Amino acid sequence: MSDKIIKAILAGQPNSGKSTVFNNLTGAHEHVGNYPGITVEWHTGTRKYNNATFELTDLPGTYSLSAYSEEERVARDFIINGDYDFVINIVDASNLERNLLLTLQLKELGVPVLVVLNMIDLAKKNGINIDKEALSAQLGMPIVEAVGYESNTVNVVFDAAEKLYDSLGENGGKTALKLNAEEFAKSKTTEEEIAITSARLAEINRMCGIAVMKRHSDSQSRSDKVDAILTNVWLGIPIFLFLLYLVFQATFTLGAYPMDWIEAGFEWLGDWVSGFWPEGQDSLLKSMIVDGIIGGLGGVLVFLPNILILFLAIAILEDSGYMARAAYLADNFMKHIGLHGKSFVPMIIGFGCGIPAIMATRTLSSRKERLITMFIIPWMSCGARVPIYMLLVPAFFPEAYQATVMWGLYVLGIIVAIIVAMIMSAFVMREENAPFIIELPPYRFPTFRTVGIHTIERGWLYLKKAGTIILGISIILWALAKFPVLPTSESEKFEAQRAPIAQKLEELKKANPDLETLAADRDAAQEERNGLEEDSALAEAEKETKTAQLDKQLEEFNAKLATYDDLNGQIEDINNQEAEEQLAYSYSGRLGHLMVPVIKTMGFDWKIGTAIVGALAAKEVFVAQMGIVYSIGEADEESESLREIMKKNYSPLVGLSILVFCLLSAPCVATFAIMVKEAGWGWAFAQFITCSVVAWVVSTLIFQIGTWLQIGTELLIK
Amino acid sequence: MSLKDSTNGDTVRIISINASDANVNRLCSMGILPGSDVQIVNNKLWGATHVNCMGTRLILGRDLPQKINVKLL
Repeated sequence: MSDKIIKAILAGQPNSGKSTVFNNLTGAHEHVGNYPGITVEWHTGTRKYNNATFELTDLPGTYSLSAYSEEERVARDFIINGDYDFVINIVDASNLERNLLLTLQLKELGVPVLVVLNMIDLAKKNGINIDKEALSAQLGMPIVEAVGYESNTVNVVFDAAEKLYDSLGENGGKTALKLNAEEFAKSKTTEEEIAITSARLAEINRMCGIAVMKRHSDSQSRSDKVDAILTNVWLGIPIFLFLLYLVFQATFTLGAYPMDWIEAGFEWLGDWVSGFWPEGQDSLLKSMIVDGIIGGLGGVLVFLPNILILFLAIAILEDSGYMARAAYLADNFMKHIGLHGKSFVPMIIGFGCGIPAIMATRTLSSRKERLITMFIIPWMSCGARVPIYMLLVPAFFPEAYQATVMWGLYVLGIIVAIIVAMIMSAFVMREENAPFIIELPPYRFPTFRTVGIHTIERGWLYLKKAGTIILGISIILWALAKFPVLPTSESEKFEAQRAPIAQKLEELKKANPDLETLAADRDAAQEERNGLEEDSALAEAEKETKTAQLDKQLEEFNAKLATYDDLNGQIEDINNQEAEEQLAYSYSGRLGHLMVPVIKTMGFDWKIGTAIVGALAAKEVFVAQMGIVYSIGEADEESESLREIMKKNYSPLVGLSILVFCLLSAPCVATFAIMVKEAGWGWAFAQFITCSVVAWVVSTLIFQIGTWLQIGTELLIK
Repeated sequence: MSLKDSTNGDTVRIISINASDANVNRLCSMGILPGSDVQIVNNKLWGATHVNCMGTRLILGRDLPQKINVKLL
């Protein structure tokens, strides 16, 4: 038997579980959510089943095909003109009547339809018993029952779909469509639309009278009771803010543990790879691997746990049904700044990543609300900025304040977004606001499976991005920081300075052969002393005597090693000078220096300048670039954590200025590109420029005022 | 009376909707149109009404509830 290619499209109302079914059927793991309009673009997937290849297209969820909103138009045009064999209509069985409104429209169009009664378990639990055969006879369509995420759904749906395909015959079943489409698509007055919908509802009532048995059930009223609290006039908003706070607390406190392990792992890897080259020998390949790849990538991957936790939290909020409530709560506020409660959903997604967030604004039906929402999304601090915060916040702020600073950054982003939105709605786009209608899906416990898939999927995307884009950029940035190499005349100058000192050192070692062992012993003693402070097994008194003992030993060592230390120190200084000069000579250094006049008002040096250019490619690159600049810029062989390096080179005030700049500055190129696609070049450039200017102004203010008041201007480590 | 004037727990029948065509159409596709019955779940929200329409919970916000004329059943 030859292979069949069966093309089907999935249509269904929002919250019908369409995306879950689509993911299950195709084996793809598309984003699944529980608020209106999660599918904002077509998704296609193929799956081999028996002798057939299924090509599935997932249409945006729509309540009807009357084409009043963008999604409806997209869905209707595809149904009328698209290349497919039949429609798989996903129907929420627990909400049958309203879902059948769409089914009836498909019937009127005359396309072949397979109806999937989804969430049949929930319907039964709610006391809704559907006589599948009777309903099928009434509709004149084959019907199967399914539970979206169960693996059995694949067999049930594909078996029925194959049967339907076989029955369609040579010309397919769409001959009726061509006759009906014209009549269907004809524009109608509102009165006509109401009359038609009434007739459809009457027809649905008649069918359900025959095919559906309902018993009273209280599962919906349970949802209502929960809503009485969660949407309460006084409690709703405090609970909402508290939940957001919990999400961020969890992201940063729980994430800290696995972070330490990953960080330690990369440090070890760097040292291990360095070990393949003889000590002191410089090799380009080694520098590229250790400084470029491990330094750059490690800095980014360390933050995977935080990002996973953040996505996990967003997934739980979405899948439980809370997001729709949050949209209502948010609308009370949003309407005052020219936005819609539903703008809140893209904004929350924006905390994960700006790209899906901007795409999710398609669910907003008013142009004004949609454009303003897109415009302010870059200020929703995305997951890619998390690495920057995680690097700098613990470096510059005492532990007790770290969560608050982090929370404060998110809030600052939101405040800036609000101000810009208000200005835009008052002066730039003076159109009327749309009304607010939102569906509240019943609360459900998020299943481990969907939340897990969702989180792993997002985490995998992050890893893929790290492995491809960020890896590539890391190598390019490394090369820009490494080349051109200092001219020989320059490096000879340093060599000339170094040679006499190195010779003195050699002579000293020859005269005192035990110097090296002595130095090693001192390191051991120092380490023991450092370990003492954290040793909880020791009594306080014992600790003190031991510390005093070790301090005395160390002093003796230092006295014996004084000349040795001095000479080594001199060599290191020269090495650092050379490395610094090399970096300043490189392309990266030159670009950074060019930026200095503009960025110095914010307290930035040229090294930070190179990092903010890198961050345009992807925000995480900021961290990678700081790692690269400082591992090339410091001749020091020992790998030191980037946080320590930042503390040594920048004051807490500069740290804060960087944090705020990274929060507010222009989005990454990928976000820019999606903005061009969704809103056009003009809006994308306007956004880019506004972000840059706002970031520069706010950071400059912070740095200048801080300097004037002398707050946080001292280095934490000298 | 308008939807906004109804009390929690009431079931009301919609008489007319005085909103723009786009909004009437949107409500229509969600099953809210003249002749259909809705139950008031919670009217004590900031300017919004939580209704049950054919088993679906909807929140109608802003000034929409004032624009929907209903009669008590």
